[in-house]
Amino acid sequence: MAFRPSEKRKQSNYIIDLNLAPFLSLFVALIPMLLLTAIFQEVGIINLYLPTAEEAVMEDVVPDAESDFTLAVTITPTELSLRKDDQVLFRDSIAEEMNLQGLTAQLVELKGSSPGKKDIVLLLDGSILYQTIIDVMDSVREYEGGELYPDISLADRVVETS
Amino acid sequence: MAYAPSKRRGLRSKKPSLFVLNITSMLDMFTILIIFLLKSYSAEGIILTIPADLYLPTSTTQSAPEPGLIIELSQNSLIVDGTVLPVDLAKIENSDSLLIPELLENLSEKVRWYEQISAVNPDVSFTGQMVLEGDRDIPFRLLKKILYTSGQAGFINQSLAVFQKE
Repeated sequence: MAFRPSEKRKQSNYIIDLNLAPFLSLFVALIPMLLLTAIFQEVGIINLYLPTAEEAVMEDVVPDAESDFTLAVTITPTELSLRKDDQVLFRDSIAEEMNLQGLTAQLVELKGSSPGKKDIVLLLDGSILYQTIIDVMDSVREYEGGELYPDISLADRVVETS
Repeated sequence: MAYAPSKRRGLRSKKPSLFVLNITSMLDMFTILIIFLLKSYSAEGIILTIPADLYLPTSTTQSAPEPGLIIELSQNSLIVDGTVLPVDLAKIENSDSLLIPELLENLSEKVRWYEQISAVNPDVSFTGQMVLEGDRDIPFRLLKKILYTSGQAGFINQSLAVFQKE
């Protein structure tokens, strides 16, 4: 004699609703809290470099021949140039946009010959806007492959009267 | 001739119905929102408040802000730690002097205040840390006067606040 079919099977036809109401209350409380504390625009900082008196003394005692030169980027409304002491390494006239990639490429090359050097001076004209300064600082501080010259000082450009 | 109304349907409508709101799809949406918000949530670091009329420049820097004195420099106002200084920025921009007397006085007062506290409480020390929140359209001739004056007052660890690029 065959078994009688089980009565339990019939129950599978019922639709079981999960009670999601507690989750809903949790979300309703969490979402406003997270929305209030969410930061959509992150703020970062750039540290300016000021050589201290002790450092200046140290440099006098132990002169590092390899990195004992001054790197300066000059920015005027019409020109962007890079100098190593008195030698001009890069010069570009600003027509519409600055050739920052060219400047970075030149600095990467220079970094290869003297990896210990970290400081650079930006010589700026008074009319240069803050955003432009930051753009130049970004391109001398780092490139995609690593660090370039992170110790950046800002200075006023001395107008040459010759 | 119209059909006679179904007797069965008539019977069904008399049944007391239980109304269940289907909230599954709303929960899906909430779950996605929660994950997104949790990802952008940060519980560490200091939060800099930026005034509405101030647009910081954008930069590729990854450094997080450090606590310190906050100087806000917008197109037409100079605010030090929440106090608006009574200065005329256009006049300062065009003056020959690098020093801004009102700012120097205010900052020196702050340095004295820090020193008084650190004399009593050795845990507090004056680090000279300051953050400049400057508008992206400020020219360098004004910026350098702010930086020079705060350096003269003793704030030598200067940093510039920027918006991070994505």
